[in-house]
Amino acid sequence: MLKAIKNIFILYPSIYRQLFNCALSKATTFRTSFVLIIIMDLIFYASTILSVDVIFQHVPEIGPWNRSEFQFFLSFMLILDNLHMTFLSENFWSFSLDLKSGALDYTILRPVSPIFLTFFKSIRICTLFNTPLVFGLLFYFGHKAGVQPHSYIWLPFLIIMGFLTLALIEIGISLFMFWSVEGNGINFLRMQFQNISRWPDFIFDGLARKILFFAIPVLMVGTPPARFLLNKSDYIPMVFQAVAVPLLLFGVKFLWDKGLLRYESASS
Amino acid sequence: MFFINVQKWWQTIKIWWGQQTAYRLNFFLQVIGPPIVFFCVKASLWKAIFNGIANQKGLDISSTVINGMTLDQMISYHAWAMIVGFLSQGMGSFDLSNDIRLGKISTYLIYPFNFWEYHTAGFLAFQTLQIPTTLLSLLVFSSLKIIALPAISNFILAILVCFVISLFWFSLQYFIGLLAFWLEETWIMRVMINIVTTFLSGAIIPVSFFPEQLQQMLVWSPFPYMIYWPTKIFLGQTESILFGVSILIFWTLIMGFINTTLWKRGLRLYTAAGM
Repeated sequence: MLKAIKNIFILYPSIYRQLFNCALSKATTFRTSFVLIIIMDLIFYASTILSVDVIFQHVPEIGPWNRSEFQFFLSFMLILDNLHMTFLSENFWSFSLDLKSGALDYTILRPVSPIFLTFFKSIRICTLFNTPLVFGLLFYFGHKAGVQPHSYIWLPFLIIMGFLTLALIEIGISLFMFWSVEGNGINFLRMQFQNISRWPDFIFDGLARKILFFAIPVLMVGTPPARFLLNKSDYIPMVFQAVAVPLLLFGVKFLWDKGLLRYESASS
Repeated sequence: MFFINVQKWWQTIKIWWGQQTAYRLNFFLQVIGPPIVFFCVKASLWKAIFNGIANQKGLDISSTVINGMTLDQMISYHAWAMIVGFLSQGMGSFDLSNDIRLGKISTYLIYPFNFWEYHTAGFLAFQTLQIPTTLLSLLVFSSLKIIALPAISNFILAILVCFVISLFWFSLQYFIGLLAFWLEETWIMRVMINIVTTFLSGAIIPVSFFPEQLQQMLVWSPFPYMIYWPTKIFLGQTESILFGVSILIFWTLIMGFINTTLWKRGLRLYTAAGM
């Protein structure tokens, strides 16, 4: 028990610090890519906000939300997207390559959690430069939507919950690469679910909403935290999210163990 | 000589078909799945928007109009937009940058079938593979009464226009691929172009919803002619066909010129290990 606590608070942070340093030196080596990724993200943020802005020039509300509330939700999703781009996204593509090349062997053999090493080893430093911007957007649209300043006390917790939900769903989906010959298709499937998560739950109706909220809970990523910030009495979806995170963690562990049984190293 | 050339093209296209369909699930998830999901999200979004307006005004959803479009027209627009995407926005030249970065172009420099021809054959192979996908989509959409099939003349015209768009799209993808002579990673440029194109072409929101000034600015750009305009042709609006095709051809020629220059300059920079 003591060892586990020591690992969580000392060993893993120290490993992650080293990985961060490696990513930093890599990022400063390829400077053109560094700048281009920042520009790419800015274009993505602009197109996301502007798309909804264009729609709101013709309608006063989408579902129960007005323009500011919808843009507040989008900016919350942009924060999650920024964290996803920084800490996760590259790892899904390298996982696919590691499976094909047999490089996963070295990850499995190391005396730390292989899931941690597989999905958190690559960090895209450059996207951190856009982090202040996405937080700025959140506070700006939050102010316009009437979010109370004291509500932001909850923000770190809500961001962590949203990010964990997204990360665990995507890791779970990508683990299906163990069962596929070519992993890129699974990566595209994962990206489609990520795309769906960028929209609020009320745009889907009936069975689709139920499936996307409870079975493959992509709608649980951003909607519950945004709804909670906009209206404190709307906390029930957050309770579902709090239940879903440990279940997803269990699911990921289960799929990883089953996947490893299936794994045939290409290098051995 | 002509026959030998046709044979070379035919054989290369067959090789590309084999490569692209070797992993069928992968092909489905990578090429066919994303547009279907994109369509479903857009349909859900617009349904929620129309529903909200209908409830607000106390109208029936089918008679609610936003910017001159009913819900059925909007869903039909997005269904045709998906078909236009299948027919015109291929992924046939995605390997191009890898060929440059990994030094594979050395082989093309000595082959009787050059780099440009090889990837153009790949583009043709991909576009032809999209035909069954398009036909199936047409069948599903029309049997679900999401779309009404246009007059045969309009249909043929729109297909031809889609082919012109696909040429422009290929020249754009080829341009991004050629940047691998200078850039470590070209996927960033590809994603950038995709985001801009998706937004400005009317793939999410019809261009007629954009502010007037932006619409005016876009008239001379290729973007509205990539989704919005061909979709309108499928929907029966055939005004300014010549103008649209001229704009597309103009931009394709510009891209062709840029690509030729980039290729010549890039080759001067290119060093192949082991040669």
